[in-house]
Amino acid sequence: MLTRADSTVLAASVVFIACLYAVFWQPHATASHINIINGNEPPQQVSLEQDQVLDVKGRLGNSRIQIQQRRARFIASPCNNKLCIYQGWLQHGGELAACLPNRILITVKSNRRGFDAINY
Amino acid sequence: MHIQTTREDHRIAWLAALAICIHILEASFPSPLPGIKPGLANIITIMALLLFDIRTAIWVSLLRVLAGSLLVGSFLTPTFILSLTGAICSLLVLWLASHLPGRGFGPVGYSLLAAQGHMAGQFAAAYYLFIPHQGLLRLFPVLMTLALIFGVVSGTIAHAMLQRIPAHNA
Amino acid sequence: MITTQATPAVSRLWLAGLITILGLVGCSRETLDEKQFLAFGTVVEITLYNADAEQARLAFKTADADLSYMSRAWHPWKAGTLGRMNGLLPTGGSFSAGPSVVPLISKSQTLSSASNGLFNPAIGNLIKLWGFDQDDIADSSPPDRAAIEALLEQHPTMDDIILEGIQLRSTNPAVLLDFGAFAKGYGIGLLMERIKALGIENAIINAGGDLRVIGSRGKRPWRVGIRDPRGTGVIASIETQGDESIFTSGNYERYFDHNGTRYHHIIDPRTGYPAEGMLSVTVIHPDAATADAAATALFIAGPGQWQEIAGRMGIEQIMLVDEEQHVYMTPKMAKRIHFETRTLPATSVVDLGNS
Repeated sequence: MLTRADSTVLAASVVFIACLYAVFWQPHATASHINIINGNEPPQQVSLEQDQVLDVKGRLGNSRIQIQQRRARFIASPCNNKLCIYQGWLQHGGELAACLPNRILITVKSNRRGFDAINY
Repeated sequence: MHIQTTREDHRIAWLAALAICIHILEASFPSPLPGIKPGLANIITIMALLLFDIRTAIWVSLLRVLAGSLLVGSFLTPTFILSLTGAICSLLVLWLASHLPGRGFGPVGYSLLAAQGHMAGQFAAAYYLFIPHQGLLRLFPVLMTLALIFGVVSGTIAHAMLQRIPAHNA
Repeated sequence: MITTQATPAVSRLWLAGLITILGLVGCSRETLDEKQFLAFGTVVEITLYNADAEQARLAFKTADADLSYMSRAWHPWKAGTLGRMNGLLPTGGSFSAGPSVVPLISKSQTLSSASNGLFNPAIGNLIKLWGFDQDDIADSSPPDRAAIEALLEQHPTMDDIILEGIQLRSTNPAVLLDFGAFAKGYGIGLLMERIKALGIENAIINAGGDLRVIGSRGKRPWRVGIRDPRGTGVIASIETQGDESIFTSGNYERYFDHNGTRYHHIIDPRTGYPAEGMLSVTVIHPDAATADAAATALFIAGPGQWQEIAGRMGIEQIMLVDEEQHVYMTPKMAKRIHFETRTLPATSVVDLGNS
């Protein structure tokens, strides 16, 4: 009952729908990992999948970064302004928070649907 | 009052009447997303295409959407707009497919294409006109999977029905 | 059966078509190079799309050298070209300006008068008085009102700077130059020209509120998020169109709180106090320096006057968020803005009338 064209369309549809799942069901399409950049050292990649608290030693001392529910934020830093902490949660690709005095910054990376840059 | 009718008019009317019955039956089923339906009425559209031509299929499909919505009471509501967009998209796909060289499609192939065109059109309308929310996009693959299944089911039904029509079984 | 068997030729055609489509969807290779630099007191992030490895290496090397040179040379208070000039300006004597600063001065003179003096880099003394020249402003307090009044009475403006060739003098001892974000904007504009000269066609240079972009990210445009001035996160996104600059001035960038009042770093040269009425201003314009000066000037102009200043400066793509959290957009901006918040903010589209 299936012609060759029928089976081709069926196969193509299955592949097409598989692609749709791949595109729209990326595990939490907003963000996948963060890069922690400490001074001039190469970036350290940390997944957002696992909740954790990280201590990163910068120029002035330890900055504490929290990862929870696929978001990341500074929760402590040895600077005076605390601007890094006021940045709050980062969750979109392209978002960035920095503790300039301690020369530590975190940027959010995502595979898709994120932003290439944030104007702030 | 008497209106001159042709044989073709009668044919379209009968097919449309059948499609409308299925449409109304379907409207009483619960649905995961308002306005999204299995589209079993597509069976009739496919049969119209295979037994006659794309012209008949277009008439049957559009009449079904219009009259069906009037009877169910959803005329000009969002549900109607979704139905109409879906029907137009699936007809567009059928039109393209029926003009491909080789005429290789059987009922299952056509039905599959129609169902997916229908679902994609409906979804696009729902997303852009009514609920432009990112979360809705995650439903799209699921709905397209359903469309694939229902497309194969209606295609198989259409195939079985066509086989029982003696004139076309020779 | 009324269906016909597809001939092998037809199914081969189908297969070929299918493979082509899958190839187009799945197999496009792309590379993205990113690097962050600390310069101009902020993070400068450079993103390159599909640049070859050697181009990327050269671009980042150039950026590293240029950015650190520019942030040193144009820093208003630290020892450097501009810092030295700021030491000489109050004497009123003539001296030779650093060559890198001359275009900054002449460009900002033009833009300052176009903005009706709202963009005014000559108020370095006011910035100093407020303490915004310091890195650490957490414990600052607002200066004495009398001190502000005294400075305002001396009316420092860019017109007080007389530039003849590279000979420079000031006719007003109250003038100190602090180009602030303008230097950053002008600097990343220059850097982008150098990156283009390396043969790179798709790039973003993002220095916080100052963003320069060229090209696209392959088949799709670059997507730029605009920070939500009402809190954290992103209020809206813009898809870039080729070569342009997107600049945002916001009251959240640098500020201190004192006795429950927030004092931010965008000082209104007319009052001597932080400009009131706006949370943020976003401007898109082909020229980086113009966009930067305009974002500052429109922020200072406030809700009542921004349209007039925008007209004077020839800015057509503007988005503002005022203190009532209402979003105003020009028609050209409204066409490009895509809000990203869960609930849409209150918005109005405002025609500038003369555009």
